[in-house]
Amino acid sequence: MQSLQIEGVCAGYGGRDIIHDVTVDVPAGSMVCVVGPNGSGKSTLMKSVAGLLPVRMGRIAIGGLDVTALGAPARARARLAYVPQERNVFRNMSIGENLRMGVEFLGIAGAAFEERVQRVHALFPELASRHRDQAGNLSGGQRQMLAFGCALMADPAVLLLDEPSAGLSPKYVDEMFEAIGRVHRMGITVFMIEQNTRKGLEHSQLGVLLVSGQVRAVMPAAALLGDEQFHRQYLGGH
Amino acid sequence: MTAYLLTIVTLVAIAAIVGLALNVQWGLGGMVNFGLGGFYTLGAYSCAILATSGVPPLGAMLSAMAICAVACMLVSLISLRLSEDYLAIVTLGFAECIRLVVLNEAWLTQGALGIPGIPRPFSDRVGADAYPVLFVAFTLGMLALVYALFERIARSPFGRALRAVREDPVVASTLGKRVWWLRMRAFGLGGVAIGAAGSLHAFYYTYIDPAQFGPIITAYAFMAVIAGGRGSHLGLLLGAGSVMVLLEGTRFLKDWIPFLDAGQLAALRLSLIGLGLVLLLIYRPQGLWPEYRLRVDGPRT
Amino acid sequence: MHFVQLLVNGIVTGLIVALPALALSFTFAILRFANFAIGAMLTFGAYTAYVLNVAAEWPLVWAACGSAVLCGLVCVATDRAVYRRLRGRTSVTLLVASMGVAFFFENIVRLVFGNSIRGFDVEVARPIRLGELRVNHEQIVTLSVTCTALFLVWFLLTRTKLGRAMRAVADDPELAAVRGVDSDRVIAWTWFIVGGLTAIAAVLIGLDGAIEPLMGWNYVIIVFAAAILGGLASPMAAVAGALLLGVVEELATLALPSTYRTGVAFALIALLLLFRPWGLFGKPRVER
Repeated sequence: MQSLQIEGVCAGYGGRDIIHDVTVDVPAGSMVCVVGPNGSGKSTLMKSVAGLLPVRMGRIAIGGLDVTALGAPARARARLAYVPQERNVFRNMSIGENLRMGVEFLGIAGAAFEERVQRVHALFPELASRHRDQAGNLSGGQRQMLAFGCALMADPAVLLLDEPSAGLSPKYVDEMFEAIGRVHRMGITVFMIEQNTRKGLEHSQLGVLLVSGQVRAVMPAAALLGDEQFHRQYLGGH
Repeated sequence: MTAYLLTIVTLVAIAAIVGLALNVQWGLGGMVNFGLGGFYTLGAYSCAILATSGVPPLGAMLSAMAICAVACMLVSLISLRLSEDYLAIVTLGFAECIRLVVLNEAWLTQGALGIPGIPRPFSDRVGADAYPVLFVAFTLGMLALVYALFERIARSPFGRALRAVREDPVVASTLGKRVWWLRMRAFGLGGVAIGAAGSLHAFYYTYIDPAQFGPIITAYAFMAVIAGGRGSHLGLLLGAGSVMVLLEGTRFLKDWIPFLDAGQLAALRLSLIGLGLVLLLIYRPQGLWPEYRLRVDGPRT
Repeated sequence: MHFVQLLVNGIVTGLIVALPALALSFTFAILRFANFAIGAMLTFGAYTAYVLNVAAEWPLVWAACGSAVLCGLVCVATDRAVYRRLRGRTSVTLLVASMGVAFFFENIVRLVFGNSIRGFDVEVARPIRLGELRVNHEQIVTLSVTCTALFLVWFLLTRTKLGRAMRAVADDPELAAVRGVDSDRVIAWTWFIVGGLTAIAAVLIGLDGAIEPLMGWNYVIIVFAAAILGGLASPMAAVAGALLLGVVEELATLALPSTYRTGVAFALIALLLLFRPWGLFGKPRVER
């Protein structure tokens, strides 16, 4: 189990910061959900932690290891896995190849591969029967499952989820959060951003409210969920 | 010496006109024209064929300008809806077709033999001695005309719309169908200038053959546009001027580097242009003289 | 059997073009720009092989291999020196830069070797007759070499780790990074393969025709046409495009003089772009 530390991070595009001085401490083995109105910088924060966007200022550490200067591939090797929101699978590759990609470039030997594939299949039985299908032919919900599965293939210590429920039908949403719960119980630290505030906070231990690129509140998820004032002001009573 | 100077000035002016054309097409409009040399050839040959068939030289020139404009518009139409990469290959392909036609359709273009005896404008007004001066004046006059015209266009609503579309694809998509009409006209405007430059080439040399036209025209133009700062017409003049002077200067090298023949010097010139293009793009993409950049774009948000 | 002869000739020409077309679609898919230097690279590859074959007196096979390796390295070096520094810029900038690179290499060759036509040091073999077909030695060599090369590329792409990495970067570079793929290495290998494929094609062209500074330039339009036919970013479809183009060009010689080959290619490009810009075998995709 590894913790994730985000300290004083400022990042953005084209010389302009979108997130300012963001500090979030994600304890090892916990599940933290970041919520906030549209355009508050949640995606930017996620990309900075994943290593796709360089931070202008601040520090990011995985279990005490400073990864701020590392790019996304190196962070992946440091056992950070990321499930992006939309473009999260390789559409021109098969399901089997996608799963293989989850592990192939992390310096992990071949023997563990089969075992991990079985584990992912256990979580998402739908994927098992369609090993050779092109990922691009899957439905939105199935792609999400596959993306999640690919991230798990890497046996990560920290899992980043970018709006896991986005675009999913209610059936898939429940399935997704159930899978997230199971994964969390295996000891993986989960850091997610969610537009579906209720679902996100219900399953998490800690909630972070991000507004206009700044952290407005960090509190137990249940408390944040129950806080009428925050809901009215920022979250549109979702 | 005077003769040489007049030559240089004329050639630089013609090259500058081509550069201005590219500046409108690429600098303002964001459309990459790799086939510049081909349109130039089209202009020169159109003018030459018409002028040697009895059309008065000025009329031949105007016709050549129109022909080039139409050709530009039609060619650009093929790929306007698509990304710039496609326009580049389409214009290049068209240029190659022109080259093939010029070389092979001897009934029209005399093929490799070329077209001799091209009549020049105003040749009956002055004596043979004074004519070069008149011609330089005419060329410079054309350059000034093209410059003034393109400056007006750059500052007009048409020019602003063009720039907006070039810079912001979102604007482009909201304007929808009107975008390609905008671009096609801009491309055609460039064609007018290229046709003029080609005609001037034909008049100047009074004899044209396929060997005179090669990728060097395209290379010069791109170099001039990049060195001058895309979109800035004044910068382009400076760019064209210095590029040409630098490179024409290599003709003098022939006396100092006797082991290189003319063909090899030409090759050296072209490879230096290639190198220069790359270096400019890497280190000075905004042009060599940013302080001369006209504030046409307005404050950056 | 005139028609069948044309078909055979067309397939062989198509196979030669298939290699640089494949290389071109790699640069398009993985590096995301149209590499106009492909013609110059063909010229460079042919002359490098020529030097190894004639000056260093290597047998042509080894000269070709040497040229492939050297060209691959030159491509990687060019990427380091030029394209890498332009990585964040628009594809138009890269386009123009590739034009500059093309001018540079092509004219260095012209500077050193002049305009005269050269040829490889190979024995002239008599054509073989298969019934009414005439197949010459070069065509057989072309057939075997290109098919081998294409098979190797196919194998690389579909069955190896590097191939998967290349496909991943072509599909989605950010996602590839997140999955641990080092894009710099993938890019370097891509350029090496591009250089190698182009050099091999250049030797085959030089075998069949002549070696002169313009040889690569003459192929630029044709190579692009083949790649566009296949759908610019789809490597294997570019091969199909090249074969089709080769056959169409040969058939066109029934109506047009053969010097108009480029014209035929251009006409095809124009038609495609007007009606089916994603190529014959591609799928309509959202513009990047």
